[in-house]
Amino acid sequence: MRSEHSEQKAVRSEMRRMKRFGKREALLGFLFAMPWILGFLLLTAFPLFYSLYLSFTNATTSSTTETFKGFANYKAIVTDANFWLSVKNTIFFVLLSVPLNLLFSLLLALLLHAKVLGRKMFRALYYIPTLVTIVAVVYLWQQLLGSSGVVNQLLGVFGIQGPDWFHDYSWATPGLALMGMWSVGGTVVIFLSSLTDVPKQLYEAVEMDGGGNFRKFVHVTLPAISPIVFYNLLTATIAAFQVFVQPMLMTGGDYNTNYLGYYVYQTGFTVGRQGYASAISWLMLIIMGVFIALIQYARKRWAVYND
Amino acid sequence: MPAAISTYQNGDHEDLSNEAARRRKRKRAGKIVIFLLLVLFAVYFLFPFVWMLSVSLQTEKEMMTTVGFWDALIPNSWRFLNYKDVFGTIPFARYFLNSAIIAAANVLGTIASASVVAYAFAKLRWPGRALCYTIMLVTMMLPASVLMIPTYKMYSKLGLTNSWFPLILPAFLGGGAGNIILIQQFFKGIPRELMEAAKIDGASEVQILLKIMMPLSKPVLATVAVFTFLFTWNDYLGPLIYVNDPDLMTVALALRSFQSQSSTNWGLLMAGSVISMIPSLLIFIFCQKYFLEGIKAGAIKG
Repeated sequence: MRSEHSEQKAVRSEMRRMKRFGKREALLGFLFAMPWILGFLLLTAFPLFYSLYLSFTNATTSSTTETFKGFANYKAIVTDANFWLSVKNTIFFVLLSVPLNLLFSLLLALLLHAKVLGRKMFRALYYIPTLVTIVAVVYLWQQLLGSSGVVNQLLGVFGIQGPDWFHDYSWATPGLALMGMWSVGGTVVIFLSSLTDVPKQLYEAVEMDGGGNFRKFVHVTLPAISPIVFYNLLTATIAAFQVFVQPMLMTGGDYNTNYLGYYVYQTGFTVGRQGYASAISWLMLIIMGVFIALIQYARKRWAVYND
Repeated sequence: MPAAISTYQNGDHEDLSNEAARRRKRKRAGKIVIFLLLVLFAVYFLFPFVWMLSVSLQTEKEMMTTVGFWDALIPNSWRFLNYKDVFGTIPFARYFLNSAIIAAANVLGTIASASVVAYAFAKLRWPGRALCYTIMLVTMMLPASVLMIPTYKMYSKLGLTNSWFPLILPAFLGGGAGNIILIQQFFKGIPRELMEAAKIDGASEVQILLKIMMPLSKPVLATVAVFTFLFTWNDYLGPLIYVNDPDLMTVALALRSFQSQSSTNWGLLMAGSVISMIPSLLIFIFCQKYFLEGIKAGAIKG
């Protein structure tokens, strides 16, 4: 009886010690996580709510105070032709550049996956363009895609009269998409590493059944890398929606390249209408959200997860 | 299936070896085609650099007058002086130093703060940890365009615009969700016993982090350092929004000054571009391993 009692006592004191230790650990955990917690509150949560608030005001860069205007900004945006043009151009850019980038980088990854001479060197070479600062990339391609630039000279060899890419309403967006394809190195590396993770036995099984490369790709490769395909699709879509330094430097937003990101920047900084720009950015967030939701839905339906 | 087996049994060996030889031949031909395609794409990826180097050695006049492809590609003037003029026309050396300082501060801040936070997420138990982790994942998808204006207005009200403060502060406040998650995953793989042993020896949590976790995590910390440097060095938007004072300009921002409304000095612009990518290129050449690991790890966590 007595020993049992003391045992219980010992257990209880042990639990108390654990609890005390747990409290200490909890405190330390908070303390160590504090940089991120502060960063989140100060640089994400607060700006997010502040932006929502600003979108209901007439805030500008020049004045320090703003007045609440309710839905005035949003109402004005709905009838703002520039906004709808911007939405149209942004979606065109996203729908053009995202599939182009993904297909191109998947093709490159498949080629690099074949066991041929110098594949490591090629992989490194393909990655180098991503090291160049965006300003240099833009000025370089401004030359290459000029009216008598290298690309048009190349097209001329095949008897095709190339457009003056960045001074043409129909060709500026395709031009920017083309320029973006030069910097796909990161996506290529991600696809390549997912290809090396595909179990070899699966290919052998298709071979046993007499299947060729196409069937291997459709029945083995594609399902196996589907999670990575959706990951790349998601990141590429988010990035493409926000693109605006490229059009800003290349065309100044002219020639149908006034994408939403640029419209927000231009309205908020160049013109200085911060309230109106904030409202645009929230509508942009909603449009992006629809695209992201669609991708997530497709991912749940089609991506094959093995774990 | 039985039919297939019976043909193999009945068919003579010559047929089989012929088939195998044909297959091998086809495979070799395929490999040659793939190799040629890889070379073709290498030309595509590298040609713009050749162009960049070529233009960087041309005079303004040559740039304006040459028409043909080969004439434009192979400079006549070989004006290496362009590289010197980059430093004479604008205070390029100063901008180079500015970029280096900002990048160094970002690397330092990110390594320090992301490690500390990653330790909290990987090894310490505290209420709200799971919730915070989820929030962190969500913030990675949040578009920067929404935060741009309110963040600027916040710094502006605090009188901190036109300084490097907004460009450096985020590094010391966690250094970005992606970096924290990357380090956190590495920390998780380090056995608890090592920590317990150190604790018995009287080590504090800070000592465990500094003397055990971080030294064991050198590869992932190197990856984070490399990507942080690259991002900061090449960042255009941050300096564009927050830096007005010419003395505070960065290299990425300064490249613009070779182009004005009326004309562009292409030779200097391209020479400046070449110089601007030297640090990134050197890091890529010497730390290639960390680049590839980092990209892979980043995708897997997603």
